[in-house]
Amino acid sequence: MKIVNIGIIIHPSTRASAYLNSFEQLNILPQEIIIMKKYYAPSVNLKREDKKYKYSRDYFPLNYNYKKLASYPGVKVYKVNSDNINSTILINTLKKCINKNFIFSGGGILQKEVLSLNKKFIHIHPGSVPEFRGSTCFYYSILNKNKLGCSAFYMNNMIDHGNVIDIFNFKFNLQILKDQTLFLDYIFDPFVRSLALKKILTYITKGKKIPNIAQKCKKSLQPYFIAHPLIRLFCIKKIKKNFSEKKNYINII
Amino acid sequence: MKKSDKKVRNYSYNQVDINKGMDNFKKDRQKIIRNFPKNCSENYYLNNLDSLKKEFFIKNINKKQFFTINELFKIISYKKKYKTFKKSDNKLINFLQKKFETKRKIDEVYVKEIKRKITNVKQNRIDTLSLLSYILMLKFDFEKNFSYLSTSLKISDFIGDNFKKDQINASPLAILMYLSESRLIEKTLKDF
Repeated sequence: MKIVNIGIIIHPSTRASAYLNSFEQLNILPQEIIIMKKYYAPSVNLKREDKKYKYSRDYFPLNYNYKKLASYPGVKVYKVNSDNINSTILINTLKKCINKNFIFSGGGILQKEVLSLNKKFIHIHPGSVPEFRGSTCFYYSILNKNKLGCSAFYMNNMIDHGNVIDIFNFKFNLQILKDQTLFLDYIFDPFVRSLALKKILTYITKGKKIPNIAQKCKKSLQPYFIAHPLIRLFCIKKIKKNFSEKKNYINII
Repeated sequence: MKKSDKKVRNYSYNQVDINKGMDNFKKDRQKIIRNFPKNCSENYYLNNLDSLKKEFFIKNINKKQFFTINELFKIISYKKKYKTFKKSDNKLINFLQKKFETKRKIDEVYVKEIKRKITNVKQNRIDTLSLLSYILMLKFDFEKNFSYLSTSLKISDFIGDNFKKDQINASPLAILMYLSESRLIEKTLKDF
């Protein structure tokens, strides 16, 4: 494993497991890893779905072995007893870190103190900005435009307004069955983000400069708010309706 | 409605019941709809919107402020006449949508610049909430933007959770909203 000059803040979630899997697939590891609160463990229901539908095999390992990270020479692992990105303990840990760029995997909206640390936080958002900002955007993007996009940007103090690194579009074909109740939020969403992250990480592995482009923000564009459960059901119906082949796939176009 | 009495659902990462979710939703709504006055229909209330407007319209004597319900009725009248929404109406709808999504409350009066709220005004009246939810449905039907339908559904959940049956049955605007929602959900389902 090659160690690359970037840090990652691990929020206990499937998203963080998917992100670390992206690093591993490129045979790289981040130089600094901050683990928030505790090691992530999937819920009983998610484990059940994983066993039946082989999420860990086909998408990313749900039981990611976080403990092994500390054994890699050159990787510095910090454990902080907080899952809040703005907590004093996390801020103090970030101050100790030498990397400027950190991958964000959740934990709240960055506030002034974190943003003034002279660090950059890279967020992978499941929607094409500036059109799809806010919460649960992939549901709205699929329903409104029959599209799925993902944006990588540097976070600032406004929700999904930061300077853009890259925007990706996806093609997918999925058969979602009745008992795959956790698939979209806990597997599909983090997996799509991890594919985008993988592309972003290639800037680093290839020694390219990471883009930093200001968003063209229109005031009239309303952010999206968390989708009502019925909206999620409509989205699942649409995905099922669009399913056309026997094989499931999710690819960047 | 007192702030402390307010029941607010948490929609974050709920497990979606793919199998029974839609049926359960419809059953929950039917529990509300079956108490409605006999023979009431969406068309009846739509045909009587002008008289409802007169009934609910509040005389405004302060030019610096507006009554939410008055503005909502104006939006419906314009949509009915011109089959579209005015730019300024879109701005107001987005403002009210954001207010409900972030604070779960809609004030009866706002200052015109809509940047400042007025203290000690009534909030979350069933008629105003119902009319806003109805307009969000019209917006969804017009633009096919599911964000409007999502907020509309949350408002109707909120009304069902926070108002008694008698209060809902006594509000023609709440009845109109629930009947329209039921029709719109069926229509949307046909598209999938």
